[in-house]
Amino acid sequence: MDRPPVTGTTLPLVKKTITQQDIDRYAKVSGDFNPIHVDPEYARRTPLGGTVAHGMLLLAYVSQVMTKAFGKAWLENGKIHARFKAPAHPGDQLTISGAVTKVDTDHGTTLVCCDIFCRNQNGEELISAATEVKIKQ
Amino acid sequence: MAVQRTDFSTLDIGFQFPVSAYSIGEDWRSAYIQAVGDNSELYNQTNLLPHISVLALAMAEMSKNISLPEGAILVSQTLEFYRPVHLNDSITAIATVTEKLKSRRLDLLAIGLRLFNQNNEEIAFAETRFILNYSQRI
Repeated sequence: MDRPPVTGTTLPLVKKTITQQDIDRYAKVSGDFNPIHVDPEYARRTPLGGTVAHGMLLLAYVSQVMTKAFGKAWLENGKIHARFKAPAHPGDQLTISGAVTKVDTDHGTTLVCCDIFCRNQNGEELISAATEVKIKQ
Repeated sequence: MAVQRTDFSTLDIGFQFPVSAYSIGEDWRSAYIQAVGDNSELYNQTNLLPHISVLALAMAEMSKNISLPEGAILVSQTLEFYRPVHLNDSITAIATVTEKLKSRRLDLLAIGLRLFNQNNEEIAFAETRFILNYSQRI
């Protein structure tokens, strides 16, 4: 963000379209080959009906919103509490963004609190997250 | 020698997994940021690591020691970083079972992770909650 954050400021938007290739690539780098993510035949037989993206992959998208908004400060400290409400399937188009909910400055350090959502193309909320970052003046 | 994986059903609250140690090099960071589609210039300009990548690798290390059922999924994730993590930092991860619930419909497991750097400074705390039998029961 170019200007100091204020309550209500909208955070940058991150948009992703999930593919099975993305999921497979994330499985390879993370070492998480749970068949619910990488085995379409297995996943089809479960109530989920098909493979789903790793929750940690979606959380990485939430973190990207904070990196875009707060840059290096987010990589130097930070807090996330995220609830995973619904899965993301290959083909889903995700929109991740949020807003600043609180700004508190004390002794040269500003604490910025945000709410972030991840929604699919149907407006269904897949993740809701509360984040915090401290910015030194 | 292969690591003996602990079956989740035998875990009790307070169980501490074997301590794991790892470091993250440039190749893995590159593979990670490509996998998650993160095009931030910060990774070209600094040797900082994305928080979630550090946690992802800690969870990968932890998963070598625990046998979770297929179909286990994440329910919630809390992560708090106190310090930045840099390429090639030596990270030590201590994982502990913090919650275990068994009901007619769902089995839930929560694992707390504390991460330390090579100076023995605590760099992060994370708590991960799984539903263990989501894809079979729901």
